[in-house]
Amino acid sequence: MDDIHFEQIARVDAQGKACGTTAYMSDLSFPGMLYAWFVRSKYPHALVKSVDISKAMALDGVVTVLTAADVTGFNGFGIVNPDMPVICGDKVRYMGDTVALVAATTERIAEQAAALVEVEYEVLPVVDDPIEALKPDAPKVHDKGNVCLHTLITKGDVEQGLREADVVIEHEYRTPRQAHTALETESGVAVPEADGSLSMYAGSQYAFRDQLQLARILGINPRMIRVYSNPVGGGFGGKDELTIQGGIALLAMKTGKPVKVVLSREESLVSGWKRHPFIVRTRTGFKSDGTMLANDVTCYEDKGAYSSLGGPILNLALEHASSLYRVPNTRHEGWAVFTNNGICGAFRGFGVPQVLFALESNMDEAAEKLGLDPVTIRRKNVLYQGEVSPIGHTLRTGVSMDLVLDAVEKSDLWQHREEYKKTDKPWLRRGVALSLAPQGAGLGVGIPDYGGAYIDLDRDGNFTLRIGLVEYGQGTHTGFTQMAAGLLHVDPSRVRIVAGQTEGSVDAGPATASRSMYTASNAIAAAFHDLGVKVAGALDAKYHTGADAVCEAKDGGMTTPAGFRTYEELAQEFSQESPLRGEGYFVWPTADREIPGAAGLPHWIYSFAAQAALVEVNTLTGETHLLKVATALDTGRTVNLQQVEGQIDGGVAQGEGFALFEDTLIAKGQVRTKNLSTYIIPTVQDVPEHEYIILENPEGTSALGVRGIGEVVMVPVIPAVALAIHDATGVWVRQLPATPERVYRLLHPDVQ
Amino acid sequence: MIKELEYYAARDLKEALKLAEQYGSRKRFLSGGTDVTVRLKEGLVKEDVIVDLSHVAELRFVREESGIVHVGACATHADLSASPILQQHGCALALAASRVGGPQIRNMGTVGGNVANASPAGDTIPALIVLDAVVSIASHKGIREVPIIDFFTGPGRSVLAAEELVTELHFPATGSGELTGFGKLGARQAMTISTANVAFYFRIGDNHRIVEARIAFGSVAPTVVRAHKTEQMFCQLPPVLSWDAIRGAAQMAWKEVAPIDDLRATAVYRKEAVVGLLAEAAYEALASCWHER
Ligand SMILES: Cc1cc2nc3c(=O)[nH]c(=O)nc-3n(C[C@H](O)[C@H](O)[C@H](O)COP(=O)(O)OP(=O)(O)OC[C@H]3O[C@@H](n4cnc5c(N)ncnc54)[C@H](O)[C@@H]3O)c2cc1C
Repeated sequence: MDDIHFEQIARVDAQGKACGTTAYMSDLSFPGMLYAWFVRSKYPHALVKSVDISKAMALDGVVTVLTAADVTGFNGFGIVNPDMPVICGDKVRYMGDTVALVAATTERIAEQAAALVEVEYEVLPVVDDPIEALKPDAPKVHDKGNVCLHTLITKGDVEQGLREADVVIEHEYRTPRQAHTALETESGVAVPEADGSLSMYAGSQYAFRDQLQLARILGINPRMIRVYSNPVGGGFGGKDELTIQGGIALLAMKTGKPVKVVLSREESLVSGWKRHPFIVRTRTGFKSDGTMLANDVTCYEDKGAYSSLGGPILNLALEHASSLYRVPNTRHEGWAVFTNNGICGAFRGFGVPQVLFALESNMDEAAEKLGLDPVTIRRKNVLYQGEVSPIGHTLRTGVSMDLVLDAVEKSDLWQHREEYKKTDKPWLRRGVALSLAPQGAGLGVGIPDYGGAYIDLDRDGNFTLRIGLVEYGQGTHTGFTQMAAGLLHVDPSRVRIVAGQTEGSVDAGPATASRSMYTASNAIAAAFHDLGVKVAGALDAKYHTGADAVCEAKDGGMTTPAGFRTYEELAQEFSQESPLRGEGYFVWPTADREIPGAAGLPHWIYSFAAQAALVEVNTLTGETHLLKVATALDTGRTVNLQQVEGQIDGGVAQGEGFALFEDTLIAKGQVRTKNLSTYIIPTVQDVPEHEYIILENPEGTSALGVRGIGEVVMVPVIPAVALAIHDATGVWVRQLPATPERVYRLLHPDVQ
Repeated sequence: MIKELEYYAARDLKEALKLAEQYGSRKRFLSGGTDVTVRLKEGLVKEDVIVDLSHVAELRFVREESGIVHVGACATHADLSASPILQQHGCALALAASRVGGPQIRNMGTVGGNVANASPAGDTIPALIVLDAVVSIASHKGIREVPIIDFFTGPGRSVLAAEELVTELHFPATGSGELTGFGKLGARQAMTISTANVAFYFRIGDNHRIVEARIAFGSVAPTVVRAHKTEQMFCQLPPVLSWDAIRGAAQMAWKEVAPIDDLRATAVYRKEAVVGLLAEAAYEALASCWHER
């Protein structure tokens, strides 16, 4: 596909978004629409003794109030385990649990009615520490106990490796409960249709799975549910699982009216999905020349109240706990533990930031102890294609660990770090550090990872690309358009996209796991190929040009056995009644066998990035500013440079938030950071200057050579910031975020 | 849920005073609304009448007259940050205003609101204190003047009576030989309530020494506080730019603050941090007139 050139085009959705004309699902209104209110639990852990809705029902304007008994299908949802009730009947497990649902003619009445729902609780002890929760006498969040998942992966003999090591770095690390803080909170409208079916309009990351989960909740045929989930006002993983959809679906079916909800930021922060906080205990052994000998890692994942994707996240974390370094002896153990600390689920990075913060920190500490520099120690240990990973599988696809490391070493920031570190203020210290990360892409082995796309040649000779994958800001739809246009040899303006809806677009799997661009590249290429076959078939039927003839795209048309035809001509001839349709299906290549005891592992295709960070620490206050970040990223192939840089900018900001600012504080099950004045995310004043180094080592299994990049761009920056604080001040940061007070206390350990 | 309220937009000061008299403690003033609307949303406004001052043009000004700087209560933080008069004659106030919230908040929020709100974290308050500002308070009965240091009685509380409003703040214009400054510690670079803040005023004598110092700390006590002992320490400094000496003087601040633990920081940390905050801001300012030896 070397003949395809990707131009730097403006985002296909730029105008609508810049002008404010783009309608998100939460912007929609329908005649006769009601407003929903979720009656949330009063306690983080309690038995529900009774729910009395009579006073709420009596309020003027209230149309219905639902309790658990009103759930028509299965009262639960969850991508892996449907253990989260839509409406809790007998027990609540976190402050965001729903005990009743109200639909009323106005939002105000719905809220008032919610306050009138009387719930009798029997309060239970709160489980708020994952390690305590593992003890046999700990109160149980679920009847089956507090262990959501336990995984142990071993290779070689870790104790032997540690004994042979010249240096063993042993530490415990802790990471924050990051909130996605998408601009659009969890919201949508459920619309009951005249034929008894339901249309769900709600921004989410996978319409086709929502459809199935909603069918289970409502107890109806999935075909009676249409989901429209595109565009999304930000996701980051927080809209991978269902959020409000089950509740408004039940209300709409019950009332026969459209029902809308838009969560407030406060409600979103209390009830919404978060990143799992991890406690990571590590012992990493090195030979005196820096060679890694062993890595022993135990992770405790604070799962929160319900499963969602906590298991796969734990496993992805364990897959990456020794990165892609050459470690002969490993022991990666993990516990995903239920607590009453909110709910945690998918979040950009999916467990990898948590473990790499620990590993990369140990790496720099070993380097310092051994008198090696951070690049040398890493270079010594990075794996190459064909070698065996730390969890025992052979790396068969491209590995760019060395390449991104070399590239970041050559960055202006790293090369001139001594100059960047100069400051004339006696109280300021600057430091530079680097880090690198692989990020497994796709869903992993054993989980069907599939993508489909249609390319329709429309009546007018333009194209409609039908693909499930939603646009939630990444710029993927621009990329999809460019890939389709490139293959078809037409201007991108001739391709429009229908995405993220169960009707009219094709299931291409979830927009998660750094998989959208890669999946789309192969699904679109397959659809394009099929379109050529369809054109040949149509020509053959009419002109007997031969069924096996090959049609190739060229200059706004195709060369065919009947000569060159423009797409307009082809459309005129063959697309008038219904479009000629190229259908493409693609299944991700996966490992041939699973890592024993670790569902989903290993991953087959990885993304790679290395980042260097410059920080300035105020030793008087502990304030840390991230001044500059250099990112070396392997895109496989860059389709749209501006979007790649946009992902880097956003990923760095989100990584910076993880490293310096963000944490949902929960005390005894109560969220204390309920809005954006207490839940601190970086502002435009806080984000650093960027240096971009884009590598293009085509991923051999993508028809267009592309790799996913959405997650990996936020990962290395996290350890890099923590290690830059060390470079600046000499203290090691073991718990993130490195807030001013935390850094101050590290600098002044005498302060009580 | 925001409750239902009666709303009046005063066209001028006279009307505002009349409405204040009429509704007394049933009413709440609203100027930029950046504090009031947050309280409303949280259900913390007990009053049921809003009197909007934001259209009272005669309260929005910054001017200097015969050595006195007058700042109208409805002047916004954006007005203050950009005011050449303040940059010259009351720099600490311009600096403090420029660190409030972000551009949107600075465009709406007013200095009168910041003062009347009486938060111990209000950023303009320490600046106004070190500038020796006086608060002009008006009611239908007339005008009274209260030195700002006496204005606050506790967190969120002041000497303002129900029918009174703040019309302006005034203070002696600073000139040559006078240094003022402001420092702020927050969770991030912008849009952050101060974990601690500090303002200072130094008058430099002919011998280059500090002959008069005023220092005030915010967010480290129930109200913004003056730090008299620390001021004395600065007046003892030899006129040489020495980081250790300046930091040593600032150390006294530790004895003059009484912070609490809250979501933003612990008391212990706040005590430590205000010392650094003062040392850093004072060092930067003194570097303009002192030299290392
Ligand atoms: C996102 C955000 C960030 C913020 N960041 C900061 C910050 O960094 N630093 C900071 O100090 N503050 C900050 N604030 C608080 C607020 O913006 C300031 O206190 C601002 O100065 C308030 O002014 P206002 O005109 O908006 O007051 P309003 O909300 O209109 O009023 C505040 C109070 O003062 C009373 N009032 C107003 N004007 C008068 C008057 N003339 N006479 C008598 N009473 C009056 C009102 O009745 C009310 O009780 C922030 C607020 C928000 C929402």
